[in-house]
Amino acid sequence: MNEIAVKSNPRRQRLLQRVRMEIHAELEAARLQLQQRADYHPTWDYFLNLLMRPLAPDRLQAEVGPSGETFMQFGTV
Amino acid sequence: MGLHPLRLGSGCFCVGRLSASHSPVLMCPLLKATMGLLQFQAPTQNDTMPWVVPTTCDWVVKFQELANTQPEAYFLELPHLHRGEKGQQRWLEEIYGLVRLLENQTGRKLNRKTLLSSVQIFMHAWKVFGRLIELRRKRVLAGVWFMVAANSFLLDSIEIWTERVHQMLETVATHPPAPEGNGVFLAGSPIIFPNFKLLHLIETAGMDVYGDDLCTSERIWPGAVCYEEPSYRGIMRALAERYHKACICPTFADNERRINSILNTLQQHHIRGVVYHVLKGCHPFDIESFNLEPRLKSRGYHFLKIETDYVQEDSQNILTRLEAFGRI
Amino acid sequence: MGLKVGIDLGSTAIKVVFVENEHLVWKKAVPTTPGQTRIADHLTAEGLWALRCTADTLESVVFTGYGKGLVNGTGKVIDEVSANSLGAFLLSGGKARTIINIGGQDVKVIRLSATGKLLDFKMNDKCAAGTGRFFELAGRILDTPVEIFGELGQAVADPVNINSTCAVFAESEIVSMMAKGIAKERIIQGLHESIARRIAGLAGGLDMEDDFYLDGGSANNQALVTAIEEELCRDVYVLPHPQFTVAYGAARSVETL
Repeated sequence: MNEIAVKSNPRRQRLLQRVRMEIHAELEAARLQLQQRADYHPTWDYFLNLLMRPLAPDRLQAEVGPSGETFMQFGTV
Repeated sequence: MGLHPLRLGSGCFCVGRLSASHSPVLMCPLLKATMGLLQFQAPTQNDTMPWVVPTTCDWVVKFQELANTQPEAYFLELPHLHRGEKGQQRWLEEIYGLVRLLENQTGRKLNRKTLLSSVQIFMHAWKVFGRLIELRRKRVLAGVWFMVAANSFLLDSIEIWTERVHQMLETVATHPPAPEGNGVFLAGSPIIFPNFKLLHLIETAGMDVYGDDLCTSERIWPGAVCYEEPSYRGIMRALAERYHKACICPTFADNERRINSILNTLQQHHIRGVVYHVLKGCHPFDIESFNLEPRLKSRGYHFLKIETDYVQEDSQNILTRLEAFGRI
Repeated sequence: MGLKVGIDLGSTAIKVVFVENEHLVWKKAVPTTPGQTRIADHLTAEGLWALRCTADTLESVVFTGYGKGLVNGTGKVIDEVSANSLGAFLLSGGKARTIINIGGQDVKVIRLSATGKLLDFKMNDKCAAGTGRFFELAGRILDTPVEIFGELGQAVADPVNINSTCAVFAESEIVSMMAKGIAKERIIQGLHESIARRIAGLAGGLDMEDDFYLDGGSANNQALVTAIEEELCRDVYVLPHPQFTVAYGAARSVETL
């Protein structure tokens, strides 16, 4: 594995940090676009929050569900 | 068994660059984005839990090899012929294999009672989801909101998700339907938040999606699980059959049912055209489009194929085509 | 006198036409630069001046093309495929059933009914191969004006084979051919044939029982027309005012909008 790919590399850390911010910006922009629609209703926030969560970089650290169950990862079918 | 499935997959464009250097250029953008997100994965207690990967398309099959991350994948080998008894028997064996894996991981046994209860929970969710489909067909629910609800399936406990969909239905059902307009059927590669580009463009072009066959949307359920006898084996057989035989993913070789299913929806709901979405690199959907197009056109339906990925720069080009399509 | 104006805000050129009754009475094209709506206003004013008319004689203004979304305020808007269909149908005297349009950044193949109704169409995605942009790029590398490509390519009996359908890779292929000393004319005709193959690929999925009508800025290139005819095994007719078909269709669209 080349040097830049090593997770402890400080440059890679900075790159990951940058991309992390870009991901949040992309997600927020998509959410905002939906929330600004004329047919938006706050009921949709629950679903939008779910869509924001799994794509967030810390998603895989939050695998324990609301009632204490473990979430098991499935590929898309 | 105290486990919940969590769907992997991402529609995030910017994260793709993290996987660009160690993946093929024309790789499916959905998996490229998912691979990029895994770069952020920190070691967690869940590392011992494998990913369950149904071997659908080539990209999915080679995903673990490309991603090179922990935990290891557990492959559910999907027989690519699903109409005959042989394929179904092999799939049933795979499901039993998965049960053994889950039992080993959790130290708990799957029994008839918990299996039945789980099937019922899913079937309740399926019924609620069916009402959602109905509202979209009646133009009460915009296609883009339908996709929001469907996309969030398997991202929370199924009971909580179902309850929230139910609450949302109560709110939306009181809304008046949108004026009758240009309804289209959206077929093809999956669309995942935040990449709703095509849905927004369809709306901008004065149309809306009244139905679809996307595996991240209307096709998250193949239908009701019907068992002849409520024994453990009887339910397992019914589950295997429903999720294999009834699935219309284009990775199956004998997939005539998909075309019939699309034709039925078009006919029943007076939808006159199909927008066919192909993610660049998504070969199974691309291949099926060549069979589907003449079949639909010969029955008088319009067909527009849009091949794209997660970039925004082709939006104007796509919009031009959609606008013209809406006027045909 | 009522004048109908059609303005095609294309990716490489802005085209304005004035139509009186059904006749195209004035036309002008300028390269696309920033400030498209301002340029369109100037061209409209220029047209009025040339026709010795005032603004109150304008019956309608319809915008089309990639820049149509930039226009605010007065004027109707129509998508370019529909405008192209109508324009080509009317300019062909109602004969056109299959149209090939080579635009600045896209290629379209359009099928029409006997009444001029849009039946089906194919259009390239974001790839620039076979488009007007592709010609411009080649013109720059070959240091030859695109306007004389037709003249240079027509006499060539042994064109080179340009394999790449990607505009960027075709560029490097051309550079390497030039380095080998291959005559410019052979390269140009090779380009025409490569574009004809690309169009044939696009049109392949469409029912093509009739002759083809070609429009867009590249339609005046006779060598390209011949290459398309050979590739598609059909006669290709060039519409009058081929660069202005879309703007003309936009202008006349008020009769149906």
